Amino acid sequence: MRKVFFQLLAYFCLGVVVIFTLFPIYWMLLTSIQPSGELMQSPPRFVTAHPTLEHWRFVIEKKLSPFINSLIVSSSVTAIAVLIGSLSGYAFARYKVGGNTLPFWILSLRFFPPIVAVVPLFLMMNKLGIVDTPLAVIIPHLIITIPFAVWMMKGFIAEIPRELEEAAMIDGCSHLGVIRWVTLPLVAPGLVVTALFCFILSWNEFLFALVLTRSRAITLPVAIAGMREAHGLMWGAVSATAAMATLPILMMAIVLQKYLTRGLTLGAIK
Amino acid sequence: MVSRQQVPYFLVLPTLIILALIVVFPMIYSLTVSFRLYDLRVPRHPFIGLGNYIRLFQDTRFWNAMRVTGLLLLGEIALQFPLGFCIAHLLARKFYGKRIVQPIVLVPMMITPVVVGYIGRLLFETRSGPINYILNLVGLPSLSWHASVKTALLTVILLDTWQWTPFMTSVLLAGLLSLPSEPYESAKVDGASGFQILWYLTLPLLKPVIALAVIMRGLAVIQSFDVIYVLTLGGPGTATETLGIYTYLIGFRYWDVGQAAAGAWVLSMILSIGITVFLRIMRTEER
Repeated sequence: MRKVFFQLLAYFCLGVVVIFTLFPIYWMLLTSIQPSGELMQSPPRFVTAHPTLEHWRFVIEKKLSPFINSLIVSSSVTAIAVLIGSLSGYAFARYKVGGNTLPFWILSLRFFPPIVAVVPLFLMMNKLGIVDTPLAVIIPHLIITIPFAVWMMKGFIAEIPRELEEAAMIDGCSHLGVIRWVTLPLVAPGLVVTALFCFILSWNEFLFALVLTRSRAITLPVAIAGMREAHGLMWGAVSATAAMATLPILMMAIVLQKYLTRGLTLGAIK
Repeated sequence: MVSRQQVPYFLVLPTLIILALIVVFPMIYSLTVSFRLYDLRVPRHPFIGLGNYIRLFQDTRFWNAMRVTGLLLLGEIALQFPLGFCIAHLLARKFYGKRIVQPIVLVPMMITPVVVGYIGRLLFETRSGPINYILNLVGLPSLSWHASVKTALLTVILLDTWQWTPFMTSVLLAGLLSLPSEPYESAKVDGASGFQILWYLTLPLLKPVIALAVIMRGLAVIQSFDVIYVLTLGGPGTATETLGIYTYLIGFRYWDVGQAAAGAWVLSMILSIGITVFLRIMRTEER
């Protein structure tokens, strides 16, 4: 009896957790397809009988450029960070370059406060005249993603047995050949995971993008935050934009679910 | 020619050059700015030594920001750790539908924080938000949530708890699953109660994992910015003005970049304590 009771209680708690987790996302999606007349009614409607795409049409007509900016910034950042991070990750995992000090200094940058860098970067970019260009956002996003990529790749490469590489060398493979034909295929899943995480880190970043863009180069988070003032009560439109920012991330999260903990703790917990 | 022994150093070189340019150099630059009376609207920026830091420590708004950041830190950890611990225990068991439930529970932490702040504005809306509606249904009065000085910080804590409890959950879950099973078997043989097992076995064994989760969460909370920017911009008044928001406003609303740089440096001094502890934990994990 007692056991059955606890079983039921556990299921009940899990149900509550799932509802609490999903409800805010559901509410955002619901708001994005409700006709304007139904929004901000009291009492609120928990379902809609008249779904509409008017807000999504607004987003596709008016908010496409921040979306494209975000895509440009996040993909560039991902490409650079993964490339550079893999090289260092390989050196740290295989050759212990810089002993412990260097990799751990890079690790500590993962918590480097953007607010410290944003002031000098703003002043420097202002002088160079590159504020409000994608480059102005790409550069600071590397501060966040490179340390991340280095540590993730270091972990993934360290997991590949050294013996495999040594065996290939004995068989007459060159050093570069070993990396290309032995290491790279084995580390490919790790590369994908690292790339997706870098993309999300850049996609979600707000402070740098807020300060270093004005209008032309704004990313999606900046666009969403700005709609608050500019559009007063356009809840439907903001919801649709927010949903558009969220959907690509949700798709990536499905691929990443096995690696989420590892990514969020930089490999400390696998 | 590059000799064999030099190759690894060349592999690290691009990282070091880029980090020197975008981290080390800006940090030094920011330090020099913090010693200047640097108003962006004024062409001259005279050296004033520690003037910005003195002004900072004399500003009651700065101390308010310290207090708000401290309260936020306490509130978030106090909610998210126990919640995450319980949910991790639930997920560690075998149950029907685990393969669907587990990924769902982790979703919030991937969502753009700005979007979370916006979702908060929808949910906590005073007149027509679903949360006040549900409060009314069970006979409680409506609250003004982020629009009231009394509840604004609580609203931020609740929103962050929605987004970041999954982080605690996932780290603690991984910790729970990696625990050895022998101590638990012998504890059961000895007839230990559930509470005794939790207190004398699970918590001590999980200590490094708990420390890691709490430190990482703490370091992020101290920098809180995105959600608050969208939800309240530090308001009403200065009720939710964290160090991050305060520094941003000083620098990019009032254009006093010198004092903002000083504020940012104070913030990073505070963070560096946490980072030191974090690094120590990571070093022991490495071994």
